[in-house]
Amino acid sequence: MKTENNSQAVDTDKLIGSLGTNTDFFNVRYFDIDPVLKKRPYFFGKYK
Amino acid sequence: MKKAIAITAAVAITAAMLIMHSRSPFGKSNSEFHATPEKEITRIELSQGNERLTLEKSAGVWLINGQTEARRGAVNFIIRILTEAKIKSPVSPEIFKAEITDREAEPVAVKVYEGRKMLKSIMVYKTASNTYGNIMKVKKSTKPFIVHVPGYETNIGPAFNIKPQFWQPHAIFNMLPSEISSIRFENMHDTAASFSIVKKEKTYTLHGNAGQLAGYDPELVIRYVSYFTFIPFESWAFDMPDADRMRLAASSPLYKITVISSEGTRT
Repeated sequence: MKTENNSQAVDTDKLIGSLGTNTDFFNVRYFDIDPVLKKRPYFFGKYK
Repeated sequence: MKKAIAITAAVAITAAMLIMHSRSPFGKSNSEFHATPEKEITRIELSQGNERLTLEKSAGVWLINGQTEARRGAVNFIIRILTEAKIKSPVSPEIFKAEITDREAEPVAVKVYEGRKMLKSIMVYKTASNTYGNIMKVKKSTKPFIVHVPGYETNIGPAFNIKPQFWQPHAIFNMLPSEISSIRFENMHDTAASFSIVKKEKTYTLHGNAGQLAGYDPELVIRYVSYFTFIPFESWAFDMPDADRMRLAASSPLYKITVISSEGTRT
């Protein structure tokens, strides 16, 4: 993302995604995608 | 007699001033970029080269190419541009040549309708050479202008998008649990954390890389599947530089999530 002084900075609140092999990328907020980003131990009640 | 001449002169001067005031210095037909519907705009046609996209209001709903429903916010925004756009500044032939002609930038032709009546036809050249993201013409042969929406002093070029997905709702996943037959979650940097969920006879089972797992909480699996009802994304990254796009396309993602519907469709 661009900052006020026009330099580039990493926006740690967002990810870049794409559907299939498409190169039309989209911006997605961690807040929105987080519910489906789980590791296997989640299903064993370790990170409820 | 002198009094009559003075009154005639005053009337003539006033009329001349009124005519001058109402005329655009560039010619009204060549410099008016907004449509004035009697009631409302009902159809917008966008075309660029061989591509064409239609937004049409049908039974109160805006449809993309007569099929899927369009994002209301995106349609409202382009309608605001098409009804409120004003000239910000003229563009010199030198700048137009440098920014548009020499770069072979192809315009988006926009036609605006109310019912069957065409209200306005304009040509939009998208450009990064000004903060409004555009240079517009009424016709190819007319003068170019930078156009803006008063009170919305930002880039309006991206609103003239020819890609159907731009107009679709911003959803990555939009499936009810009853519509999902399996989910594959691949953690590309920690493959041991990858898993699959498969529906068999209305029951979800959890699988690792070597087969079905035991001891998991089925309630957590059901809850996880329910999250796929609606996972939105914020915006398309259409303004991403080509170099970044190529670099990303060649790199491995962090996660790969595949959802297969009951009908076999992959997302």
